This record gives sequence, structure tokens and C-alpha cells, in this order.
Amino acid sequence: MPVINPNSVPGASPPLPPGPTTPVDRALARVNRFYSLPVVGILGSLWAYLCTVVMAALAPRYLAAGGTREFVLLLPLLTALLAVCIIFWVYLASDEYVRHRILKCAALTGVIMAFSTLGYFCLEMLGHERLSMIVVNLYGWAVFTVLMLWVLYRAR
Amino acid sequence: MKNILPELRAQRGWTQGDLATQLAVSRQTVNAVETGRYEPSLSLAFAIAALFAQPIEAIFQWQRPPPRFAREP
Repeated sequence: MPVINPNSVPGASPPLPPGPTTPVDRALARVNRFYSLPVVGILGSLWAYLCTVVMAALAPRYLAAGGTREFVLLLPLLTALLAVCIIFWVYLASDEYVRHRILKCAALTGVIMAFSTLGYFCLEMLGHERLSMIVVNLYGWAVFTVLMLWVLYRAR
Repeated sequence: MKNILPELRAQRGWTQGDLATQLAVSRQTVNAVETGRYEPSLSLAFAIAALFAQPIEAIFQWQRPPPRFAREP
């Protein structure tokens, strides 16, 4: 097969600058690419969501009834909205194949959650103790976050 | 859909990462297109054709997919 000089191909771009050469440089570049802004954003928003969920769960015990307690109880909605906004931003900033993968992640999470909810329902029908929906909620977030991080790791 | 992207890339001595950089997509996208796991959008196909200065149909060969539920004669 003849080797074509990229500079002689019409429409071709100029040669690319050399990348990291040593194994250490390559490993560092890989790590830096993985812990990029999208990953930090997703993990940070999930952390904020978990913190507000714990605060909301503890609020009835430590806060008197009133506006402050209601605000703390509703705070997880805001952080969940923040997480959704960040994931949507990652979606918009991705190329078409990664968008396709993100949509598959969302669909897969939906299927897993549907079957989990069905499983909980069957457990309740069989006489098991009633399970809190917060378990399903946190489980779903965890599954979706893991799938998203896997997609972003592969897209590095 | 078959394509000759690996051959075109090899002719120029580019890695998948190099091609991804030139197309402003991820390396994963280039890999998925090359292996046939993903069919690129029209805009990406036009970008690939422009990069290699070849018509789209010279790079991508469409094949009629086999019928999923073939009728028995």
C-alpha cells in the first residue's frame, strides 16, 4: 500500500503536534482527561444531592416545624435539578456517539429502575416490610452515575 | 455499513486519536464508526469526506440489511 504524505493530500490538515511520549506522561494525561470538568461536575452534583438528602432525612428530628424545615426538606429537589442540568450540559457538550451512549445510559437506568420497583412491589406482595422509595431513588442515581462515568471514561 | 476509514487513516499514518482530533469528536466515536458499531450522522460523514477529499460513497458503502422476519416462500 503506498504511503501518502499527509501534506500532499488536498484538503488534509497540517501534521499534528506530538503527544506525550513517556509512559508516565501518557498515564498522567489519561488521568487528567478522565478527571475533567464533566466528571467533576457529575460527582460534585451527586455529592451535593446526597448531602441534601441526608439533611432532609434528619431535618424532622432536629428542626422545629416551620419554613426552615420545609426548605431543608425541599432542598434535594434543587440539587437533583442541578445534577440533571449538569448531565444535560455534558450531553450538549458531547459528540454524537457519546450523546447516543448517554441516552442509552438513561434508558438502561430506566429499565433497571422499573424492574427494581417491580421487584420491591413483589416483595411487598409477599409480605416483606415496606421499603422506602428513597432506596430506589438513591439506587437509581448510583446506577446512572456509574454508567455515565463509564461512558465518560471510555470517551476520554 | 462498511467503510474504508482504517485504510485511509493508515495511508496517512494517523492514529484514531489523530483522526478524532481533526474531526473534533472523541476517539471512541472514530473507533465505533470504523468497526461499524455506529453509523455516523450526515454532518460527520461529510466532515470525514472533506477531510479525506473523497466523496462520501467512496468511503462508506451502504448495504441493504437482511430482513429480520423473512417470509417463508
